[in-house]
Amino acid sequence: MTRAFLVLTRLRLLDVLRSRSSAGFVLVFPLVLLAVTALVFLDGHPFERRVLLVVAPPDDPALAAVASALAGLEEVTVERARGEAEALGRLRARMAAAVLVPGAPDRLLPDRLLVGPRDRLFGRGLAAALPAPADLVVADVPRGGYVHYLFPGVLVFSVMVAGLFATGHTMVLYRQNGFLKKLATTPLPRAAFVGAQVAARSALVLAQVALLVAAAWLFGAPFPPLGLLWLAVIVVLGLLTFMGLGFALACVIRTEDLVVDVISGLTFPLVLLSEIFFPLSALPGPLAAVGGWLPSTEMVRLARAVLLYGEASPAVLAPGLALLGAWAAVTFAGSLAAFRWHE
Amino acid sequence: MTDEVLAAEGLGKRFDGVVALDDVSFTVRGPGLVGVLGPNGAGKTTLLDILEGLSPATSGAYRLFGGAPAPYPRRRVGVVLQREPRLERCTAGEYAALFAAIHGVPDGAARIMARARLEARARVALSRLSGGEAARLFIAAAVVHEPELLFLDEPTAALDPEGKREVGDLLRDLARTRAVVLTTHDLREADALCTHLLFLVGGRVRAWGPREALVAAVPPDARKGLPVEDAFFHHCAIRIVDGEAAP
Repeated sequence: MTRAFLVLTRLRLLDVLRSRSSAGFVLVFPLVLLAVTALVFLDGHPFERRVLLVVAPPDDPALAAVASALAGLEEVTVERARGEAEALGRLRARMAAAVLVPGAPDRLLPDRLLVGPRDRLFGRGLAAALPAPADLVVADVPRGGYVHYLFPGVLVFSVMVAGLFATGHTMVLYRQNGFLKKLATTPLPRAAFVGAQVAARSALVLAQVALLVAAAWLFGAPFPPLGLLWLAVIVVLGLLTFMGLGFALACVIRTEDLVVDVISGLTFPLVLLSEIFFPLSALPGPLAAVGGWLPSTEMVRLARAVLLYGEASPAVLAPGLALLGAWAAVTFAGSLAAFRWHE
Repeated sequence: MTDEVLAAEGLGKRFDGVVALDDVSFTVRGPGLVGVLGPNGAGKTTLLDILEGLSPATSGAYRLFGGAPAPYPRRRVGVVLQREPRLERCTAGEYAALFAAIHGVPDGAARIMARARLEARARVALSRLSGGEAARLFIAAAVVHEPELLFLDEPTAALDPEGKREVGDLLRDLARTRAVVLTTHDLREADALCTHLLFLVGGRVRAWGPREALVAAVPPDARKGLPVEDAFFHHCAIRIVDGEAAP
């Protein structure tokens, strides 16, 4: 019995170690994980720096004055909000610790500094450091506001995983079990096959999104009706992008084990670099720059804009949608070009 | 056999310097049942992959229905692969519906199930069909569009005798109206079914022609039992050990 136990143990070990991908995943991936995590949080805890949102046009001198006055305070980051609705949405979702709403230019109405109930002390200190006096206002901020912040991130994460696995894993499986080769013997056009994969997965993901929206509603997340329509557009574009990436992976990876490992390995840095759990401004500059170009980041930003800030203006959403659309076009065109029914 | 359905001329295939097929030539005129016989590694599947338009030949060419296969005439050809996919969580009825839809045959699903004699098994998962049932379903689905040429790669390799008999009956029926080309290393099956035989060993054609002619060419002292078996060993002059050609 002991000998059988030893032989079985050895066989199991060799089974893992003889597969480069499995051995790499077991032995190297944790090191990569640590390195990525260390790089991501090199500048400290993501919420160590509190964000002050200033509601102002881009070139407003007041914005520059506030930034200059607070430049020496490492614990505060000054960002601009396009309007009060966006700023309050970000305050409610705990993406900002304070909002500065400038008063009238003639100072007949003073500036207002809005903070949540748990930031009174921070607000007082901040008000004292501002270049002009501001009335401190304690705003009604939901206790679970961070859940609102997380919800679009979780939604994007679901779409990302669904897209990558739905095509990446399924295509490798179809290739391994001979289904693609079988279809290659029929007159089925490639576009019909790919279109069916997209349609089926889109239906599932939209159902998944509807469930997530309903669940987030239970946590008090706001849902502007027009925002939900925009969300459907964002989800479909994002899904196309990640399905395209999945197809591309399936074109170059031949085994089911390896494709699962690669997708898992890709998902982790994407989660950290996509504003799913915390803003990119918390990351070191180069990583934040990389994250800014990711389709998942654009998806999260667009989803937050339409759901949390009530943004519905096509002109405001257009640049983000265009970037997402470009990602979808590039990944899909690339994967279709590389797609082969069989080896 | 009358009209030319398939003509191979000097087909060759190399994989990384290894010769899988060498100068394979033959012409099939339909209808009828052509058996491509040979031991494991003879090049049977490689030959079918080329003729099915799934893999290019390294040398030589072939014609289908008297013309070059470009574009490949998928609507006139049916294919049953050596390893047909048994999709998980897919029923026999759904599989039939898929191939009926691909070929645009409105009542195709019902025709497939009827031809495979599986009307009562439509809701059974593919993975739960017996080997014989699955083979009949795959064949029926491959001919739902009534192709003029049907390729089958060892369709009965994993079947029990009962399954082989049922699939044999189906193939015999199909071969009445079309050319059927099947690979097998089961000489008994070939003896029972085939009207024409192609003996392939080491990627080369050892003999090709009507069954009767190949059988008749065997000298009386070399006849030991099954006619096709005698013809195969006479024309190929090989021994088979564990399914492989032995020196």
